Amino acid sequence: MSHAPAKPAVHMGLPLPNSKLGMWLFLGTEIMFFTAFIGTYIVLYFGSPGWPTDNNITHLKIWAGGTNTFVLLASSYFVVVAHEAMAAKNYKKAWNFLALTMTLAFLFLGIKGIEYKGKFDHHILPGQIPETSLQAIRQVEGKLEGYVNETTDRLVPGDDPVHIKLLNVSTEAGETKDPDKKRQLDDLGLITAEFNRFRAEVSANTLELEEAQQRIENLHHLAVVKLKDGREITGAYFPEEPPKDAHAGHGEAEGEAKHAHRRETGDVSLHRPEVAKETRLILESNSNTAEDGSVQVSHQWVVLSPGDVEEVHHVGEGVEHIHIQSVIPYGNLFASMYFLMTGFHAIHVLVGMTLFVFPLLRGSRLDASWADWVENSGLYWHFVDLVWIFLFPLLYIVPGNI
Amino acid sequence: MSEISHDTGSHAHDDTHHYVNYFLIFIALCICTGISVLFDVFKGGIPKSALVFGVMAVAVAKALFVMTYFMHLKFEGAWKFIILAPTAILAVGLMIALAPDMAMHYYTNDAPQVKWVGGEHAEEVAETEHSEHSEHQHEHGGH
Repeated sequence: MSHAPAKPAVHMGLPLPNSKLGMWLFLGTEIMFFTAFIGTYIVLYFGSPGWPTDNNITHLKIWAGGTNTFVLLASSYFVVVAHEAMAAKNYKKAWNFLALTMTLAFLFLGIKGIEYKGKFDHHILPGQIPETSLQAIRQVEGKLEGYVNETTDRLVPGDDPVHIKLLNVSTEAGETKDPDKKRQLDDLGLITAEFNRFRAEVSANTLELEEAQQRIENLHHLAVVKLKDGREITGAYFPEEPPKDAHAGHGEAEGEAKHAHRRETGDVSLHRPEVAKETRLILESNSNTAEDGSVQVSHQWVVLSPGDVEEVHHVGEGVEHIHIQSVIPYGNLFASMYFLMTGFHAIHVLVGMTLFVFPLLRGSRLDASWADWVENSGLYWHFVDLVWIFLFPLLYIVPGNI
Repeated sequence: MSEISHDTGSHAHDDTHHYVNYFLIFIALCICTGISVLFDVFKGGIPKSALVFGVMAVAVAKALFVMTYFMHLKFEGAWKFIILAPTAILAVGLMIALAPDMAMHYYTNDAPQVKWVGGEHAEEVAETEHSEHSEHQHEHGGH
């Protein structure tokens, strides 16, 4: 602009523009902001023996972190070239390099998004990770309860509270004229019965993680199987599947011993026995009311041949999405720190992108008046790069090696 | 405002006086990143402490490259020390202030997670949990 004021004869204060001084002061506070997180992370890491460091457990992808380091370095380089071009009054070149920086910022966030999606898919989220076997069992209990309550509330009409509706599930199934709905209500009744049995054992603290896992797998396979001879068996149904017994690798003798041990302690073995391929297995449960009024449940594996089966109705499909999550000691702290640090960094990336939008919107009208803007947002961008330079080794490489 | 500052800025310290081959700096930074990834690839072959030291040294080197050249700190006046020294001292001081809690605590950590990690089998740990308030607790105390 031609009417720019003349340079003052005496320049007071620091020999730099106020905007740049302001940016540097702000970056000074930013250094403390991020070191507080990093310091907290280091303290928590050393204060937690058994911090999750296995990348298969934490789902940290080193390729993603490494690529993002490179992406930010390149964008930092492009910003500095843009700044240089502004000083050389080559505004077209400056705009191009700002656009490249912006593109790389999007790329960074995209890769970050892939990483975050992996975390969400594997439930590596603060407050969602069981840290002991009991927590894992309680968590799956809560999820099943949520499913039962939600489905009951949906299927049984009326404004009653859900615990009243639960009592009316079988009545409702008897009264309804809609065969579809009747089947849904019957299924719900079966799942609720299994869930109540599960919950009783959890409350009695008699369930171990491995057993609970087997039970949940059986629940997934819960089915009503109609046989050709007219019988109907309800239970966990495993068709045409080689047994994936948890003790398959332990050899037969040990498996036998384990089996005997369970029988000895009055515990029913829910583990599928070894059977040949092409057979259908079903776990039949029978409830017997003893003389003193207590209900005793006995389980028994029934081996069927494919020819025996007339019709199979799968009941457990509705709860197939409910799994026991793997136990990760200190997983919640890890997830909190991971999302805190990378999340605040990502917010800084977004702020940097916002800063770049304004000169980019100028298009061909980008001129000397934007030189300070480009320089200061460039300084900010370099800082964002600096933070990632430290976060990358601290999050991805160092854990597990110190 | 921006016109004034631009004016004083471009005359008070003209960056074009300090020619920096930014591309060379960028290449150096890429090599540094490659070295940290190589550290991770060959982590089986080097002592763990050397790995951590190496990776962090590379990170500091990269940070210095960025600050010195990309952020032009090499060419700035002494004011940079006034701004950066207090923040650096406070940032490092924070970590030192937190250190007693991680390195010098008198108590033994008794979190359930520690029991899980310390136990040889998940089942045993589960048993410890179940019998937490019973007499069996002492039997499992040794794990």
